[in-house]
Amino acid sequence: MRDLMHLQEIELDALRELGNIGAGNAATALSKMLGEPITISVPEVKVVPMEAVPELLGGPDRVMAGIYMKVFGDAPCKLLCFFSEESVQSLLDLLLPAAGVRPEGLDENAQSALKELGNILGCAYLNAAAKLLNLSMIPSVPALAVDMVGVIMSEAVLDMAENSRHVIFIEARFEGRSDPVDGSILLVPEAEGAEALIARLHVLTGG
Amino acid sequence: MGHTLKVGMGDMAVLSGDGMLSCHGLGSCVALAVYDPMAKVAGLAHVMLPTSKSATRAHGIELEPGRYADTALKPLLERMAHLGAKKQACRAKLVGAATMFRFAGKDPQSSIGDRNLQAVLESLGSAGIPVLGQVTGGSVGRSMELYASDGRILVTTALHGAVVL
Repeated sequence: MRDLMHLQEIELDALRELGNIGAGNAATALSKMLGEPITISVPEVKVVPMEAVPELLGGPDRVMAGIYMKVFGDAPCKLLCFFSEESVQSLLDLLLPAAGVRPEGLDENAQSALKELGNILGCAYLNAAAKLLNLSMIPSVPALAVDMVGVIMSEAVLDMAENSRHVIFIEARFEGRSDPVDGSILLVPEAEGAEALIARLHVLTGG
Repeated sequence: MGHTLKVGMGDMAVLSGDGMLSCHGLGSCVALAVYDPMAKVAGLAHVMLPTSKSATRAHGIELEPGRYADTALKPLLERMAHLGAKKQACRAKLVGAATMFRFAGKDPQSSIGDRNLQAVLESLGSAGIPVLGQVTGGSVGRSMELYASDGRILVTTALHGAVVL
C-alpha cells in the first residue's frame, strides 16, 4: 500500500469533491432539523504526520464537543463532527429546551441528544458518499467527548498509527446564518479506506 | 529560566538544570516522566501505543522507540545517563492513559489507554524504577509540565482544573 504522502493532487481533488457531496448532505440534514440555513465551506483535504494531529483544528487549547463514529465496510474510515462550545449551548437549547445546560456538565440526556445529532449528520454524509461510490459504509454507534479538540482528534486516529505514519482527513466547516451554530465534519479514511475511495472515484470520473 | 521543550507524540526529551519539559493534549497517550532528584535530570517520553510488536514492522515502518510503551524507557534512561542521571536514583510519574470515547455496549478489548498504562508500568517494574504517582485514566484530556529543578509535575485539563503531582 502507498504511503498517504504519495497521493497525487488529482486524487486529493477527488476526495475533496467527495467531501463536498457528503458534507452538503449533512448540512441539509442539519438545516432541516434546525429550520435554519446552514452554509458549508469548500472542504480541505490534508495529509499530515500522525504526530501533528494534536495540533489540528485549534490544537490542545480549544475545547469542542466531538462526536465520533467508526465506519466499517468497503472503505474503513473514521467520521467526526465537532461543535464549538457556543454551538453546543444553542443546539441543546433547540433540541432540549431545558434550561441551564453547560458543556462541561452535560447530563445523560444532553449527551444523548448530541450523539444523536452527530449520528444524523454522520449518516447523511455517509449515505451520500456510499450512494455516489456504490460502496458499503456502515457507521458504528456514536461516541461523544467534550474536551481539547486535539485530544479528541488524536484519540480517533491513534489506532491507525500502527499501520501508517500519516493521516489524511477531509474537513468541511459549517455555520448557521443567525444562530451561533458552527463546527466541522471530518472524514478520516484509513490508508486502506483512502485507496478504496480513490479507486471508486477514479472509475466514476472515467479515468 | 532554562530550556522549555515540548515533547510531541511518539517523541522523547531529557533536560537537566532548571528547564521544563511538557506534553500537550494527552488522551490515551501516556507521559512517562522520569526524574533523578540527586542529579536533577528529567526525562519525558510521550508514548502513543502499548507495544512495538505489532504490524508496524511488517509494514516497513521504521521503529521509533518513543512511540511504544515497551520500548520508550530504555533509550530515555540512556539519554538521561548522558546528563549524569543514575538509574538507581530515578523515580517515575505518569500522566494520561485516558479513554476518551466510550461506546455503548461492551468493548471486548480494553482501551489503548489502559493497555498503554499497563505496558509502561510493566517496563518500569522490570527496570526497578518506582512509580511515585500518577494522574491517569478516566475520560479527560490532559497536558503536563515537568520541572527539571525538582521533578514537580503540573497537570492541567480543559474543563476539570489542574493538579500538582
